[in-house]
Amino acid sequence: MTFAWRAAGMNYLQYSSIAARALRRVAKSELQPEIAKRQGMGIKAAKWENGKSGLPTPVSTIETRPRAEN
Amino acid sequence: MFARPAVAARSAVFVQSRNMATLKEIQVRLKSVTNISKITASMKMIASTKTTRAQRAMNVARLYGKVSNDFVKQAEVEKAADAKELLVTVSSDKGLCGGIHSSLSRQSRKYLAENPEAPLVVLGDKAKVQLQRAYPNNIRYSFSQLGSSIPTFDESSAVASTVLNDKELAFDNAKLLYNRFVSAIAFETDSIECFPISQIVEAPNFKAYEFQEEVLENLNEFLFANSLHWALVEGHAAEMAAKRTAMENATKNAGDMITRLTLQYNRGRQAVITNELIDIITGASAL
Repeated sequence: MTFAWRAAGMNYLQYSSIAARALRRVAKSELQPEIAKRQGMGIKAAKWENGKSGLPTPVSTIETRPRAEN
Repeated sequence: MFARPAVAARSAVFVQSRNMATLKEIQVRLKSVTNISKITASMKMIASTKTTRAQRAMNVARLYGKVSNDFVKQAEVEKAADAKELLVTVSSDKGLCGGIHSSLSRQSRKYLAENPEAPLVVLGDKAKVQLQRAYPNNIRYSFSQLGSSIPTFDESSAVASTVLNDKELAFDNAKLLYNRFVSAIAFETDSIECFPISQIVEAPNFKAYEFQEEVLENLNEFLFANSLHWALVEGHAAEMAAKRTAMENATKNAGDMITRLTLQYNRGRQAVITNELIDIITGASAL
């Protein structure tokens, strides 16, 4: 019983982030300000090779197509 | 007859101007120290509000972390003797928080001295700068832009996912080094252990749980993100508390300095006045 998303190359964390993001999008409008406060990750990751740092690039768990709206 | 008072007056002016220069210096220093103490006092206020908020988030994150810990403890998972361990140092980008970052990098360096081949992932620029001087070849990933606000699970799972997705970075165990929030004035550097599926499956009490292999993989990834989230939030709370204490000490020291400088300034001022008086009186008595 292999999960379809696992076969597509995602790990569980990416899968659950997508589900969480979907939930956040359909939340009621009264809850949207609270949600908007917690959005917006700015984390940058740099991969290191042989003691040298690569360029920091923004990190995102969800590599899907960009949002069509908002 | 007129020569003496003139000479006296000139020397008085000379002494006065020399002392005035020192007085000016002290005045300048006094002004700058007062400004600094105002800045540190306001930083302390900000840090204490952030501490209360961070503590609330930490209490929630602790419950989640406790769940992962309980599972590992109940199943009695143990570390394999020849496991390849990844060290994750959880610090942040911000300074002025006392011994937070140096304590973490000291423990990391101690661990890396015993395990020189261990791969290292650093979260936060402060620890990265210190560790890249000592062990640059161990670092595999460094994360920045952390620590300005309370970490969300989205952020922790993004970091965990990046580390897990990298096929070249193979590890069995992970050891997360973070600062545990002991109280508003104390913190302690501590570590969380994360285990691979192979070790969980071999655990003595694992048979009490019914698990399929794929679901166990999901759980393990989630536990890793969970522990990382706990480490991040608790580290953030410890850092805010340490910043508050550091700013409080700085304000107190600045206050002491202001008192000392004010006394010095007053003494200098009185000395100048006394000298002037002496010159005038000797001049007058010479007439």
